[in-house]
Amino acid sequence: MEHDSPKPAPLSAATLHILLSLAQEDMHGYGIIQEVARSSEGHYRMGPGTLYDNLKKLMDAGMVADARRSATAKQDDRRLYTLTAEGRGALAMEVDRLQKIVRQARRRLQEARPRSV
Amino acid sequence: MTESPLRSAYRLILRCHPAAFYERFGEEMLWIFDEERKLGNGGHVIIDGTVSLLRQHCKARCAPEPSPMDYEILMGGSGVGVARVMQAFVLFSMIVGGLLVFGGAGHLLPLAIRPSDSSFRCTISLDPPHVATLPSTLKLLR
Repeated sequence: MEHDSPKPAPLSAATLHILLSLAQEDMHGYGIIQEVARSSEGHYRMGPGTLYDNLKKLMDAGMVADARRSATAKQDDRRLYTLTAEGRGALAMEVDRLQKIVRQARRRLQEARPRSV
Repeated sequence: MTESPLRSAYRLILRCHPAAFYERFGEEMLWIFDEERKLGNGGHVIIDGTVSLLRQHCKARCAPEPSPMDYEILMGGSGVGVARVMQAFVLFSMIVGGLLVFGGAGHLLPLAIRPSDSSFRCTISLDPPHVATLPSTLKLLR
């Protein structure tokens, strides 16, 4: 019998939003907060404590790293964060997982017919 | 220019975070606080900061990062004392923060104790009795 490698745990909402924001471009902390608020249409606005707690976890896991700064950006002393290849892979796996759930949900909703009383 | 009580409270909350976390993210968090305050979200960020403070200390307690200083504190037998001081400090800062945010007690701020700084742990660790007991403890372990 073939043993599958252990599946990674689903990402939390905050982690997923951070990775999604960084998939677009390198950003500083406040940029991530603004992007998350924009993409969730204002429904999800994380505070700096939540953001940096998750960023620290992602950086420790090697999914996010400090971005190299361009000459123009060096004048700005805010740190930029970038998505690593590992982070991109984790995000792709999470999107696949969510897609499967959505597919399954659609199928079940189509199969379920309202019962006649 | 004097700092607003709300900003002072947030700075205090940040300073109470574990040293490594504060040194890495403290300045950025304070900058975000300033930006959010302009939008009227200062209270929300204070609450978020307080939750973050508890979370980071719980994490540090559950899975402390190994460092020579931590080792020394544990071997010296003063680990419980340090933990008690930290707990009291966190509790005190939460009460002061709560008063500042919800009670409008800005005048209490000058009475608040100075926030801990990055040398806090070193000061305790380098206490002569701890240093003196370390070689003998290490010998026993071998």
